[in-house]
Amino acid sequence: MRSLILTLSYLLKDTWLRWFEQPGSVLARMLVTTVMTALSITLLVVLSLQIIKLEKEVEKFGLDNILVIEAIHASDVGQNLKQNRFQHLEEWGELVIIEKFAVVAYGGGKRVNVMAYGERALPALEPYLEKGHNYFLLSTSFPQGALLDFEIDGQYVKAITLTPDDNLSQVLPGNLLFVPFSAFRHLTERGFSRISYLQKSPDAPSLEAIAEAIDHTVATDRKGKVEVKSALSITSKLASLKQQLNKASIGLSLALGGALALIYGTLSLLEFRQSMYISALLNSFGASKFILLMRTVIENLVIVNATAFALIYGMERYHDKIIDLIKMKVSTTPEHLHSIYWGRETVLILIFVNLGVLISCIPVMMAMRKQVGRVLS
Amino acid sequence: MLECKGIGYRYGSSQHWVLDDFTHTFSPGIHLIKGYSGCGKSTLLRIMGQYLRPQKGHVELHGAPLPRKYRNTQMGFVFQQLNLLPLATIQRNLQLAAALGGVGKRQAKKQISYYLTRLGLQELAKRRPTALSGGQQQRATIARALIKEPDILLLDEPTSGLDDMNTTIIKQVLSEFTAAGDKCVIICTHDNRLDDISNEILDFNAFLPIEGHLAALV
Repeated sequence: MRSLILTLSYLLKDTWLRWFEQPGSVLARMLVTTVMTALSITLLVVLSLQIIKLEKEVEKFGLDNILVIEAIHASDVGQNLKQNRFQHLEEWGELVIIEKFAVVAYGGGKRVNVMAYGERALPALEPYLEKGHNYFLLSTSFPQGALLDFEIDGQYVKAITLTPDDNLSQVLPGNLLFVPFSAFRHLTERGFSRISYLQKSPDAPSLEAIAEAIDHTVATDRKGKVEVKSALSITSKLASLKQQLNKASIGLSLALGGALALIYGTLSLLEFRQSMYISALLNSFGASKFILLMRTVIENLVIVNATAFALIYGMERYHDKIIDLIKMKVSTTPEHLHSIYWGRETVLILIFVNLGVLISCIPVMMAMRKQVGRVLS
Repeated sequence: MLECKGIGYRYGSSQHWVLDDFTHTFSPGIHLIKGYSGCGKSTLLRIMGQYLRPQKGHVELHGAPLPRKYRNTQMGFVFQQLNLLPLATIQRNLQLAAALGGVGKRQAKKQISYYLTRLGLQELAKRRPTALSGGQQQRATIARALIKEPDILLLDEPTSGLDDMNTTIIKQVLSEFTAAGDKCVIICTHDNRLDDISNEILDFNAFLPIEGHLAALV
């Protein structure tokens, strides 16, 4: 035990002195680890943030609703497209229908879209209508509670500004002026978009089946332009992103481990050639070759892990600044952030980095096979 | 005691055997190996120290192959190049050799103190090798080899470049070491000042080993 302590203490002193005498070698290893780990972690964090963003969208949009936007041009109005082809969706849940006119309203120095609501939209708009105004602007950029004048096709109306709830702003984003359909029925002659929003009931068919039924209707009629929005497309994108993240983490880990094995291996061998004399000398007294090899292994493991851990910790700490720099806008909680930076992908990277370092010590192990008598002669 | 049996050695892919079929038994006492540079003296010493593996033959100690811990406990080696650990003091060099040689802490302390005093190094114990003269370093390397009281002590040119005073100290220490009659000291040297303490001289130049032969020599 005493011999082990004395040997290790000497090796520590020798290593420490070498670091001071030749800082370039240590700094080169630290730089390589920093650059490569930073690139890998940044890429994985960006992918993770995109996943979080999509998950939030799914959460907001919900997995039990579907939005059908049917564009009806002025030329189509004459045909019986005025009748809602998707009225039957009401069998499967609560159906809200809103018409978006082809005209815009002017007020408060801005142009806003005009949405017309009828009886079918009343339950959904009740929280806004109960403020006592038939005309209301849903917006986050206008002063809330203000009464503003808007001009719609030469007609003036007074509307109150209200904040839309998360669900509605997710489904219908932007500044929207809601007006009663009956007051502007004539505007439909210029074309409009009919927005049918279905909140599916629990006993209804699956969202996929409903989306399929809508597609089938559109394909059969071959009229108008219909856009179907649901969380289904987001979830499929989400699945593909998650798959991408998995592939990226494995690919990056392998690349990083391989690159570090090569670079650390070369540097370790160059360094070992310089310290081979001391190793041989210690070995000539009877110090075990294993301990001497462990010096190289531990030295490299300390450098790579200290650098990688410090870097990841730093990146987590300055996450907001880094995200600003790459112009990504995803808000995360500290718990989320911690799981992004210290998640499975990062652990995989760290494992491969350490494996790379272990592999890099093989050339040193080979060099240590040289007979002591030849080194010391 | 230490037997070389049919030792053959050549460097790298060279066709020239530095040692070829060398056989000899070294009994307790002091043995000198002499010969011109490159005749294989140091190579033979390193083979006996287990620092080189012979391509032919083998070395035995007390009639058995060299034990696993031979280098740690049973053999002390003094290199020609004064191989002291540069970052450790002389005392630390000796402590490390004692610890690796399995000498207990108390015994090591006693031995270190004895050999430092015996070789006139007690004032220099806290100094690093670089702060010592060549003669002082040579004495320190001998102290390090002796610290574990090995059965076999191998020395490669221990007195080359040393003045008479340092040489006398070393001769006295080696004579004392072998006085009990159970230790074997083998020295490669050109130095005739060591002749008077030796029990046997193997002259590789004159091709005069008692047993075996050196086929590499013409």
